[in-house]
Amino acid sequence: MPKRKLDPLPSAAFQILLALAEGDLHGYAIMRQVEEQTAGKVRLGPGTLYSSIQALLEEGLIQEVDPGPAPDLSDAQRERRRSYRLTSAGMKVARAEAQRLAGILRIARAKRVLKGDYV
Amino acid sequence: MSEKIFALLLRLYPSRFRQHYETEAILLLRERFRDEQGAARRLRLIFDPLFDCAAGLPLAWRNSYPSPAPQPSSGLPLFRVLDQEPLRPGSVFLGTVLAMAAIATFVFVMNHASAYHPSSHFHGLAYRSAGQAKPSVQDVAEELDEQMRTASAAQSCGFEKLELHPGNIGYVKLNSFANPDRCGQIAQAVMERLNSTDAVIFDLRDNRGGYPQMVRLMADYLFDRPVPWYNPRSSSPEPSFTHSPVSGSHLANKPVFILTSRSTFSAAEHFTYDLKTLKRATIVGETTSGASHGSGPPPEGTIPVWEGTGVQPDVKVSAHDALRTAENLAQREMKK
Repeated sequence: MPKRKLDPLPSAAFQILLALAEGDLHGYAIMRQVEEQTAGKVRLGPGTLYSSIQALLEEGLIQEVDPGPAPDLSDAQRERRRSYRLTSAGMKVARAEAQRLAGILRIARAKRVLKGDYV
Repeated sequence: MSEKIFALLLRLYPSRFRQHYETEAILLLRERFRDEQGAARRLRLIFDPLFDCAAGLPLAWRNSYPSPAPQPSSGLPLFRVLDQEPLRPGSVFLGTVLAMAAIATFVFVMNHASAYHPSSHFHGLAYRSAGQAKPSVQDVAEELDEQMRTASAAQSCGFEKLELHPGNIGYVKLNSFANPDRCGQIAQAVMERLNSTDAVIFDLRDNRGGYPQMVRLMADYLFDRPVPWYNPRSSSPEPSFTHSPVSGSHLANKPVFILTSRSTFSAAEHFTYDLKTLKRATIVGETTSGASHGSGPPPEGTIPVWEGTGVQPDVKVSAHDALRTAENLAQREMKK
């Protein structure tokens, strides 16, 4: 079995999956969503963003969907602007990754590496 | 500004990636510009693409970008073009750098290699005198080449053969006495080569003559002191002498034999006559032609004494047998 590109899942890809968990988004919206959900810590540049999107597409974790209405864009731009949707496989991978991180978190707490109970 | 930088950076991405996302990525950047105001944010926008590239590029190149399935067309065979894009400047630049590196390497290797293949004759001599191990093919080839060149130069100077015969007898077949200005060095080389022999045979059976200066130059080597030298061509009444001894020559005390025939002419007769008269050489063969000037009358006062009669040999044998006879005589003399 060939080694999968997204195993382990890069943090950028995981953030994109999380961003898409609430609904379909296009590239720029994904970027904004990621920025928002990380409180501005993670800002995906276009290169990282679209490379990750391409990788996720190839692994079947997300899929392209018809763009929603975007009144502020010209027709040509709308044509180039694709929206993305989380697939069930993508949801599974995101969940597995979250559980893996939760497991690590538990260990960190047990070892008192992480103090407090804020997460 | 930032957009231009990013457009340049985008060229580093795989062409398929750009085909898919270039417009969208630039659009995204524009929107960020629109949304993010303020100097600090703008500044960050300029540097972002660089960090973005560092993170995004490896990922972009790992992706495979499956091409859309080729549409089955009207049954005509279809050639799939792997990459329809023209060469990118980056590729051209890389190609140029690689080619220059290759050329530089080649030049370096060639220069370096020549140091190990001496082209000058002196290297060859050096290895010979050092008595080192097996000579390489290159060395042998160069030596042969050198010998060929020397041989051809020697032949053009009348030296047809220079051989070592049984009993360590040096054998020189000389077919003319060439101009010493041109062939002096060859004559000198031949005489020096004869140093290591025990006796010398000059074969003048096919010698058509030449320059009296060369005749004397060769005779110089055969004496250990200046001796009176008869030159029929000389116009001065002063008696001339050989320029002996020649430094480095060991020929003065070695037996010398001269082979003659009916075809031995002019300067060759001069050489024969003088060395015979000085009792320095034993003449073996036939009486010489006695025709110093070939056709036409000789200039006044320069008629050699052998004109018309030729030089008589000491040992009269046919020209055909002369060499064998001389060899026998030389070996007998050395045994004495």
